[in-house]
Amino acid sequence: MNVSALSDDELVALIGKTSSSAKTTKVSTHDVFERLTTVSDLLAELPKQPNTAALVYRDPNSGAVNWKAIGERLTVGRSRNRDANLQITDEEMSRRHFEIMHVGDNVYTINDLGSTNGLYLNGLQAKTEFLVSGTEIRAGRTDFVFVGA
Amino acid sequence: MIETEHTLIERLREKPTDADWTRFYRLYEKPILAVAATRSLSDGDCRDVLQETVMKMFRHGFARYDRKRGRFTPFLFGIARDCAIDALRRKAKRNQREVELDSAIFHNLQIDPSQNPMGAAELRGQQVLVATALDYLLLKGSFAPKTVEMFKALVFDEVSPDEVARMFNTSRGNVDQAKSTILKKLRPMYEGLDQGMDMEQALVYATAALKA
Repeated sequence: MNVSALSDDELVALIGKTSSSAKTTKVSTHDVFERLTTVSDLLAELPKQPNTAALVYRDPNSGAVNWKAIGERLTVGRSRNRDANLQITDEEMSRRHFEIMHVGDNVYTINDLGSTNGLYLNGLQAKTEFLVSGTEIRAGRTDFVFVGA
Repeated sequence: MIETEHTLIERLREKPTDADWTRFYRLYEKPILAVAATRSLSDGDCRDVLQETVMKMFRHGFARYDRKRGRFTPFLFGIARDCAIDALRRKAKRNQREVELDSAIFHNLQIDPSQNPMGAAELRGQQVLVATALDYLLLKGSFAPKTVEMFKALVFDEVSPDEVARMFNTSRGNVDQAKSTILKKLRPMYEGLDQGMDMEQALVYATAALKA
């Protein structure tokens, strides 16, 4: 639809059809704005952007920002543990802290693998959840962001 | 066509400032939520669609959008629509149901399912963006207060033109003129948004277009 090509009557009809509920959506989005601002700052620090679904994280020791492609499954845990695909030097993380799985159709889930200090998504503790691109994940002292494909 | 040096979208593609990013978010937040709402998603799911759409724009969208290949708003609402479909997929999986995606879309539509659902989602986004642009235009468009009030009565309150003329103690011709004056400026303003301008730029563009 090309709005600028509509006649006066068609344009008035279009405006009139815009229900007040759609125009003044009551969904609170302040948290989304804050989160996206944080995430965009983090992504801006990456030397190269991921071109697939990935986990972006800030190394708690060096402060450097990195990313790891998720593929079909990514297990994250404390370093010197061969069971984890992504090893982080963070003593507050469990050896196998959490995993992210691609469950098909561009849908990803995250599971706490029985960690000692828990898994936090957007500041709330979680066990198993579906992931949305831009979700902030905290495990131990390390901050991650899930970035969709 | 009047060209601006750097539209909002061009700035976001090249070297965005915090102000550019905030302007983009504030301008398109409600239209994107409206696209999501056509799928009867919950408030939380609508928020997820907003977040994913903006993330996709960040990561690929601004770089991939080519003004020569089409207008910006259909491009953006197409991405929002895809994100809404992803949200439906999550919803289906969350409910542990085997739901065929296409039937889920039609089942969840609040609008006439005989319409093309993809076009319907975009239309809702366009409607909300037009309404947002109109709000800004009425506020900043330098119209006489009486013109704005007559327009609001006519369009928002759906009062008949003759009744509006009586209410404002004026002629029917003046009422029609008020409507025409505002819509005449709204059209190029939306055209500006379609080219990736922000609200302020689009209003300047519309003012210049009418003078030309």
